Amino acid sequence: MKVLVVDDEVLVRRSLSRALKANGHEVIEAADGNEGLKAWKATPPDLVFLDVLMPGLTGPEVLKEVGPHPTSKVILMSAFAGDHNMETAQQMGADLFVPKPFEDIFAIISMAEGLFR
Amino acid sequence: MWIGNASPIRLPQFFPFQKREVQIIHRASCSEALPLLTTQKFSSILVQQESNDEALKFLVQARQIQPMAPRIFMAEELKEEDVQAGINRAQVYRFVRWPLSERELWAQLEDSLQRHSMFLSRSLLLRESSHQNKQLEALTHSLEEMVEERTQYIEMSHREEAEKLSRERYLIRFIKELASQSSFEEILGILRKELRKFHKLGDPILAYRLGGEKTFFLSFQSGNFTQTESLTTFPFPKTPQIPSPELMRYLANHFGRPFIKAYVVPIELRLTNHLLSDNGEAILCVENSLSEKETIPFVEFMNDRMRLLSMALDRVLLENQLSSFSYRWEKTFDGMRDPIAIVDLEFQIVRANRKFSDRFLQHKCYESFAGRTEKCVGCPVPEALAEGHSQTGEIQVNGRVYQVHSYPVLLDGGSRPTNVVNQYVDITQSRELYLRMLQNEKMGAIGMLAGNIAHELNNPLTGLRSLAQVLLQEAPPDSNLHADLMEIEKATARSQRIIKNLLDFSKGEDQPSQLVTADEIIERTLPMLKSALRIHRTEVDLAAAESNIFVEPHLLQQVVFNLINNACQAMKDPGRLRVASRVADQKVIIEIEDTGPGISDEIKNRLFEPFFTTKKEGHGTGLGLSMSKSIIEKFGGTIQFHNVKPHGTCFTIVLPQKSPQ
Repeated sequence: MKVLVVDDEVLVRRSLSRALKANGHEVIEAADGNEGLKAWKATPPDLVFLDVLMPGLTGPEVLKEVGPHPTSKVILMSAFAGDHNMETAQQMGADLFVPKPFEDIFAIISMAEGLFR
Repeated sequence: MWIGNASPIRLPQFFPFQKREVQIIHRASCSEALPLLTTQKFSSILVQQESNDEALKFLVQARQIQPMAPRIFMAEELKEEDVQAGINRAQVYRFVRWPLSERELWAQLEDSLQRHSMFLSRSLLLRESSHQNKQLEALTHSLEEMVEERTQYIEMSHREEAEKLSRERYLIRFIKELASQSSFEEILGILRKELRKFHKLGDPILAYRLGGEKTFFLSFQSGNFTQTESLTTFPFPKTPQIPSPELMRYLANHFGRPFIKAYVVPIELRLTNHLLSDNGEAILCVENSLSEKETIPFVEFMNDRMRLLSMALDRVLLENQLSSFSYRWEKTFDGMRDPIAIVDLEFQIVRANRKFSDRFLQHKCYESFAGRTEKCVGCPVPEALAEGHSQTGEIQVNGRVYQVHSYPVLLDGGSRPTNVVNQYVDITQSRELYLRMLQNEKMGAIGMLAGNIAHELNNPLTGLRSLAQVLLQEAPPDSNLHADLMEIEKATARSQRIIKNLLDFSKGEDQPSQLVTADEIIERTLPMLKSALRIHRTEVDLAAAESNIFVEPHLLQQVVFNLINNACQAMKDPGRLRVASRVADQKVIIEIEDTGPGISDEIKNRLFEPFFTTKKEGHGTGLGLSMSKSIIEKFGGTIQFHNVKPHGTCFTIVLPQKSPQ
């Protein structure tokens, strides 16, 4: 499937990208909110890894811009867990909330794949 | 006068005697001469004896009528009985034998005249002297009268003088008596005693107002001194007088008995009015049943004493006012929450309120307030004295912090203050609160900083760890690359944990309590103290992993952090730190022990006091241990310490064990 990774931290993008590609998914990377929004609109992805705090547009702002997105699943990621949790993420239109730092990237990937089963 | 027959001698008309011519009158017989005795005065009478005793009889007559004329009896024959009778009856001057020579005769006459003139002068003298005597007598008499009068006058003025003197003495005694009295009761008592001398007088009543609504009455009721007051006012008369019926009614109403006749005098309150801005007035009222006539000495008596009484009553009233002022001030100061003391240039306490100390006099302020032998550190008094205006400083006394406000007092219009009023405001609590707030803010700031750092670090760490995990999948197992990636993954995992700890540690106060183990807390805390522990050997002996406690983890973490940090700072030289946990009797015990110098007896009691610190200024707030104590007590636990052998201190935290529900 087609996966959009929006995160300003290059290592996060790289690791997610590597792990997803290893599982045979197509990955598009975006380094900030604006770029992510553009990519999302250009080709609507099946799955989006969306960071909360980013330069330009934040994750929730991107979600707001996109509006209803019935064909895309969204996983919201945050390194500052205090402000967000699963509930607030779902209210914003995300399917899953993942706090950073990840304990195990493969567990995250399988959780994401689980959304489609 | 010659009586008889002169022949043979021829009698001249005149006889010279003492430069004058003395006339000689001759009569032949006594019967012829007798009438002459009453019509003429004779200087001398010579009688010749006749045949019968006519001559003697004549001489007796002559003696009676003209005693001053010396009598000469002439006879031819001088018989003894004739001489005797002549001397006895007629006091005859000379007896002469007739006839005799002319010369002899003239000598006898001369003698006789001489005698007469002597008599004359004598009688003159006598008359003169008797006249003088009379004058003298008169003089003496008038003099006596004058003396008498004078004496009477002197006696009178003497009496008057004595009266005046005794009156004055009386007044002086009165003044003296009044001056030594200090209460209305005593002064009115003296007046009462004085008034007793007049009968028909009642006891004195003093009424006064001090500017307020109330009128005070001081009186004797059935012999006892009584003070009453009234809320209705009546204008006091301004001059001594018999009061108006209205005033009498007013008094009667107040005392609830009839007032028939009285006398009132206004009392001048000079001193009191100085203090009360002319609002005080007073009158003295004496009831009486004196007649018109008896009133005069009484009014005089009162006039004599009114000024004195006024002065004395004024003085007492002033004293009462002053002492009530001073009493009010004293009560005000005593009622104040803060200790207040007035000290002089030598820190000697002049006055102080009750809060300051109960035993302050004859002490210096630092002796009685702080129990010190020299002035407190931070005392603002010297500065206040030098600057002449108020200064503020902070002193510490027995674990309390006082903000001292020193207000210099300028007395007598001088330019240099001689006293300072010190107000001691206990700011221990507010300062503690302030420092706690500061601490909270600091922790809050650290928390925010930690949050930011955590976010900034977590992103790349996430990337690092995840990438390492991805690469681990790709790297051939057992290869060096795999092993290296493994180390990177572990290191990032450890970094993540430290960041998480830091986040927990610096969380604000309002975190819920939760079930944790003491071991967990200790393990989480130790990594944050790595640099402090670097030079010391650390022994960790944890044996409470199975027992839960119910605490706010970040707070307990702060306590453990504090205690370990203190222990490290106590050991100047590299030492040994032992951190242990165990369970005993449903309690979880944490022990933190160092090999420092231990805690001296002097500071043992003060260790948990807020702001108590042995660290240099700026290196500690002195709040760490006191906050630790309050945190542990909040969790239902205790914190104690004891010195250990050979040297060092062991802090013991005891917390109740909590089983999960």
